[in-house]
Amino acid sequence: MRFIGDILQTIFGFSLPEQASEKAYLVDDLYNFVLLLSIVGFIGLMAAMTFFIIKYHRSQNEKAAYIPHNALAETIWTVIPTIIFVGIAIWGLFAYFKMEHVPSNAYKINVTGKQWLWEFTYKKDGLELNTTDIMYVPVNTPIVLDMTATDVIHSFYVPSFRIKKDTVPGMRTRVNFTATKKGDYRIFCTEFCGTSHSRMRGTVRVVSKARFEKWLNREIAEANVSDPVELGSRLFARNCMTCHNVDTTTKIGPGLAGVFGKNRSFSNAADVVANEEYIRESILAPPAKIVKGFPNKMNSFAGLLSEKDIDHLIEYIKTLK
Amino acid sequence: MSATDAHSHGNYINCEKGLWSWLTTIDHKRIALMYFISIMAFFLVGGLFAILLRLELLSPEPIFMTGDFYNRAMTMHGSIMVFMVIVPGVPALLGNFALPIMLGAHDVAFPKLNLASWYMLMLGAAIAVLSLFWGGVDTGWTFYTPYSGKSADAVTMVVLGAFIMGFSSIMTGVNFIVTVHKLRAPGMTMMRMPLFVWSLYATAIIQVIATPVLGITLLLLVFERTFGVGIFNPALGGDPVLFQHFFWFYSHPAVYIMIIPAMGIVSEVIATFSQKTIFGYKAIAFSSLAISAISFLVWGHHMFVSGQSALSGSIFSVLTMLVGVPTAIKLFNWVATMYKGRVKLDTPMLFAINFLALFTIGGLTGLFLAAFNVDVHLHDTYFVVAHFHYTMLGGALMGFFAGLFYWFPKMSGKMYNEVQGRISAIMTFVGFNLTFIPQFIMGSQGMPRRYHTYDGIFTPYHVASTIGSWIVASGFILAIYILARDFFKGEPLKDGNPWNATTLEWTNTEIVPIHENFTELPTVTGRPYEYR
Repeated sequence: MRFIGDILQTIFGFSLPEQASEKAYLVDDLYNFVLLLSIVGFIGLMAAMTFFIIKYHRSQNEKAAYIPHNALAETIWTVIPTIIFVGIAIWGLFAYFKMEHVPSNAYKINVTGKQWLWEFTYKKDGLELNTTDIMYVPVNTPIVLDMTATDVIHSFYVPSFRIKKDTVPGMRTRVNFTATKKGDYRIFCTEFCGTSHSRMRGTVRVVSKARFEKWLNREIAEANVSDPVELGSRLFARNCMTCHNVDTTTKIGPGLAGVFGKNRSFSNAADVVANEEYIRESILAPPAKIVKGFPNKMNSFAGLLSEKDIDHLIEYIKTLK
Repeated sequence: MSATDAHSHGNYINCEKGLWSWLTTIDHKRIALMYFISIMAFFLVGGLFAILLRLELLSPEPIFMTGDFYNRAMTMHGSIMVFMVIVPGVPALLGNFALPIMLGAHDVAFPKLNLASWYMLMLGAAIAVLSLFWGGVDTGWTFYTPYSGKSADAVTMVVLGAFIMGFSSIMTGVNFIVTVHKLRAPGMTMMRMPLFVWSLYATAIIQVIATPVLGITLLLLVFERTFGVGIFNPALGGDPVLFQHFFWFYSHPAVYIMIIPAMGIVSEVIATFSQKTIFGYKAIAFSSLAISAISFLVWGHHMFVSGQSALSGSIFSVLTMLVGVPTAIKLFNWVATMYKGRVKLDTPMLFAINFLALFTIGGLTGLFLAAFNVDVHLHDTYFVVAHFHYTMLGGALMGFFAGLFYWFPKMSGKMYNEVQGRISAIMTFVGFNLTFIPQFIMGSQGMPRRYHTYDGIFTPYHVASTIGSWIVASGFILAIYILARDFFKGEPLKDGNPWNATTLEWTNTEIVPIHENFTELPTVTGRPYEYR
């Protein structure tokens, strides 16, 4: 049987995406079978019609026959399509149940559809990792996606895996697959969800089990860093480093080493001791106190950094010696 | 009768003059002509949106539309074509014109209701189209919740427009059912009715039973939007999938509202242009009724991946396959009718053959979509887009144009230009396939529908499809131009039955029917299509 499936796949495979999951062949076999049947049926019917049109054209045929019905022909063309059509339905639903069967050891990833991105949540040892756009999965491992949506209905579709399921707000849906080839595969949203529906695409990145473990351990540790100094240093690198050095040398603004706890004098205000209150003000309202000898150049970070971010930055700045 | 005296001179077109006489007419033939003009106008507007959409899709990245504009254009194309062209098209236009004459009646059972139905369509259409000036609607013609509950304000307007147009459909349905039961001429038994009448009868039953469900669904949506009553929105404690059940409970039978009348036309045209009795009259008549009955039990096949249970999915899959059987029977019967006939390929027959070929493809690709697991892959891709265009444009509208050309001589008393007519039929066929065959392929490869931008791997298919859309549009514009021009300037008919047809509208009326259809009610002594 597999042999027949493979022959059909060779003929019609061009019209389907690459098979990259264990159960993709279940869709393709029936697709190819129905396609073969359709082509045969269509050509047969059209050939008969064309033959009749030519042979019994008005210029060729003087008198029409009188054939109001024919019980045998009508029985045949009622019974045979019924058997074929119901046969296709039964094949399709058995294949569907096979596809829906989730192995008990399947690895679970939570998927959330939002206007207009996909969010993937991995859980390990009580820690969580949220990523968007790219979903990493290990090859040859059964995966089950536990899905929902936050705003409107979306639909999670990976053509190469032959899987699709709506994600519905207030409801959990499930879909499962086992990727068989390493590589990147497209994710499309296939339930219309508004302005950027067609941009709601993503990628499944299938990698070796070892690489997946490595990726997950690294990312999940990264995502769960809670040391305020470490977080502060990252924020500093992203936001402050262009103008402030972490030693005592001047860049555009003053170097920040040893500043915390020291007395600061300003060109437009009375001296203060650099405490947490002062640093917070310097970030949110820089022109309030301009350090003597420096121009009024810094922009406010109000709205760009959260309260927590600022706390982390202060903790980091305290450590600069 | 004094009314008879007043109209005893001239035919139905010229017996009264002036715009007012048209706007207040209760003659089914004149109302049909008013539908003719309005539906053709809607068709051109809906088609214009299609051409714009295809143009935008020439490139994977935006060319001249924003995402919101694309989504609005897509919604307008779908809503106009479904609610304002295909649903009313055949029954309200051709059915209105032909059904009473085919039965040997002076008019439909409720002539004033018939006129009211036209006004309802116009009112609903006006509200729906005017919504464009309130920002338009971007939900797609399916109005899925919870998106439609949150989207632009104009949703309420369009939904009310569709609600009102639904009444037009129900009124026409009631009218036809009563006309068929009560106004048949002496001797016109049910089993002597032309197959077009049978198809309109089967359609009218669906219109009357299914349309109210759509009306209630749309009203619930308006309630939710306006008063915050939680029905479909999960944030308010509603169920978004419930909307899909309600919507498809109407909208699946509705696709048969669109296709069954076209099947009726094809039965008339193929018998007449083969000059042979229709093969399997009873089978065709009853398969229309079978389709309309089963059509109520298959809506769940639109929801295989919606999260509905696998068990209900399985049941819907098997039931859906069963709809295929009466459909296949009809196709076989039509081809068998040509066997040993005297076939002539005039324009109506060419459009009927377009129907036969394209609808067969539409039906066969339906098998892919009805197969539970294959649909998981194909659902909401361009495969579905191509499939329903093969049934709706390749099927319903090709049948509609077959009917327009077929009854044109009776409606106008003129003959259209045959050569040009054939060219339009061939152009639509070629252009149609060029447009939609690439869509099957890219759909199978995973191109999702309702995408304003897309993955570059699909570009060649989109380009071919867009070029095809220009050809198919030119074909239809040519066809409409021929009909419009020759209505006024065509060669006047000398013979009231140019096709040598056997049904009453051809055999028992003047070249152009008089206001009352018949001077004397005909008596029917046999079945239609008795070519011996």
